[in-house]
Amino acid sequence: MTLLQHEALVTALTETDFDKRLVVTPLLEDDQVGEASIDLRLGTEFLLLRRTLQAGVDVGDPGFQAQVDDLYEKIVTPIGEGLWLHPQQFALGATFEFVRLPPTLGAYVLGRSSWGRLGLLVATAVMVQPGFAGSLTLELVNEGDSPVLLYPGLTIAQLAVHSLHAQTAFTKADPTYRAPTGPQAARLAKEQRALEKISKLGESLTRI
Amino acid sequence: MATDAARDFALLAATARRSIDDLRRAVHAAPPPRGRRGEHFLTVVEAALGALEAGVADREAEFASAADEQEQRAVIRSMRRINYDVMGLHEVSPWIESARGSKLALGLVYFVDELVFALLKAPADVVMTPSGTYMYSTIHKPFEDPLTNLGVAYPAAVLPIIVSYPVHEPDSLFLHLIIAHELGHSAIAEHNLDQEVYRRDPNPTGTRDTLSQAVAEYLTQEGGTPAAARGRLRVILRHWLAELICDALAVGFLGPSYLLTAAAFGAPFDGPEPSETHPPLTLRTHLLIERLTSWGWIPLLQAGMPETFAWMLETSTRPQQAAHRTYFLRLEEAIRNLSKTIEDVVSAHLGADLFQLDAHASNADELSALLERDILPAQLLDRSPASRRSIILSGWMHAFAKHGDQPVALASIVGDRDQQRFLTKALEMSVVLERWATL
Repeated sequence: MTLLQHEALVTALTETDFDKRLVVTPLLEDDQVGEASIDLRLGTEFLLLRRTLQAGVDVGDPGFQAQVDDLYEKIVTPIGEGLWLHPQQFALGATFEFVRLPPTLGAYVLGRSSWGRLGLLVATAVMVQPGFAGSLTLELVNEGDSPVLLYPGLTIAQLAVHSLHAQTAFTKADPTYRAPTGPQAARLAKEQRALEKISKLGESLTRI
Repeated sequence: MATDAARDFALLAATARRSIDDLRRAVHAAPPPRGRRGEHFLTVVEAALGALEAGVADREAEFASAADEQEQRAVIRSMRRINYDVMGLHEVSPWIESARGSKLALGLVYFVDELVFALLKAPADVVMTPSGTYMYSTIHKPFEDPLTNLGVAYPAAVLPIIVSYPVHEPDSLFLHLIIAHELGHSAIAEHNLDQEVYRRDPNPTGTRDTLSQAVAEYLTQEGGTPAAARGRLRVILRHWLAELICDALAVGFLGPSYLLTAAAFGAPFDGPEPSETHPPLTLRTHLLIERLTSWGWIPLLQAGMPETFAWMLETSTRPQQAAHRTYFLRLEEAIRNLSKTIEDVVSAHLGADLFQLDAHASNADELSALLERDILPAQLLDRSPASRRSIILSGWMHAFAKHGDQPVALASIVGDRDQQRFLTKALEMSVVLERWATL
């Protein structure tokens, strides 16, 4: 596994074979491609968390997805305007760029340290799997004591891309996140299925 | 002690003022969108409220100086008309909400701006508002008539236009292309395109003769006087011509995408039957295909969706079902004779904004390759922004490849909201990229 440096990133971005190309689109400026990462901008769509009027969120509840969807309010903030993120406020944003990794590459999303020093944490789900296609959801939390105005279009994160030892033949089709173009709310269908199994395991253990 | 008339008038005036205050509060419920979409429309609403308020004050003065109860009753009738106007103004409440912020995706909002410049040749303040009625409609220059009647000059520096769309279709990009047709109505109003068609009619005598024949048939079938029949038929012809100019503008700007949209939206409801406001869909389809033939698009449709296009071609040749009202057939004759003139007027009006096959063809393969791989088709390999119209057309082509080349696929394509959200995001990104390059 090797971190791609500037020249390798440019080569991957301009690969003529679409199936092998690293796609980061639209790239507004050449200098977004740095020494060993690509700067990513903040997109225009946000999901703001709000206090639920339900009892809470329970992944074991059949109505879990509805509970989750009830938690978010979608906000569109056009370029040229801003969104205030208050202390301790959590929001989902998305990268302005649409990213697609070929099966030979993986990546990590990292917050830019300049924002981090203001208390803004940008991403926690940092790994991007080979074959991913879509805008990257950013988990934004203001850990500082001052509200921060978020401007779509500003660079907010960076994508560090690495090669794999070998091209993966394993592709995990995940229709719930197919080519998203905005922030994606939590989808825990897999965890819900796992919980069913864990519950059965618990029942069997209780009977012992 | 107050008279009955005084009590009646007091109630009417108080109700008008209360209602005006309610509407004004709705306008002021949020900071005014200075320099943004909706600003000019809200200026007009404020002017309308101000004019109505002045009308109430005038009636109050008139009532106070009325010489007798008969005069007072006349003022009450006048006051009641104002109350009806105020009541009518409540219709704009959802528009006020929409003027503050559209629920539509940015890509569509930006694309509508592009449509406005191409069709109206000037900026306009387009407020897009959801409607419970399943149709698209346009209100050009809202409140122009009431303001004129109240003696108030139209206050907006930039033309406001209200476009309604079906409330449950916010993400249906393919259907929203009907907005191009709707904005065509404003283009006609602003540029007198219908008059231009009549002015350029190469055979005005023939058109008059056809209309005279229609009048004769109308009198036989419907009765009435020749003058009334001629007037009514002229109105119908004007409506039909407007619809067909709007169709031509939309297909001129959007190319085959508009034909597909018109079929997806119109075919489930309309067929070969005419109405007084709209020509039969079959005739409209025929004329759209005529335009696309002139502009060289047919091979692309035949290659991309041969079955669906063959169906459209077949439906476009079905005769008009006018039943006993044969005067509609004469109107169709008149329209068909004006068809080439409509095309010429629209071509001249669109100018460089006419969608050219060559411009699309140069990007089509790359956009198709991007869509096949679920890559956002916003930026081409040479880093330039993809043309919005090519993104949409490529999206249609891709959708037929995905959903199958059959007329029934039009329903599933329009129902594929994920695909349309994807394309709409590409429109947004393409616009941002294009503007960025000019900075």
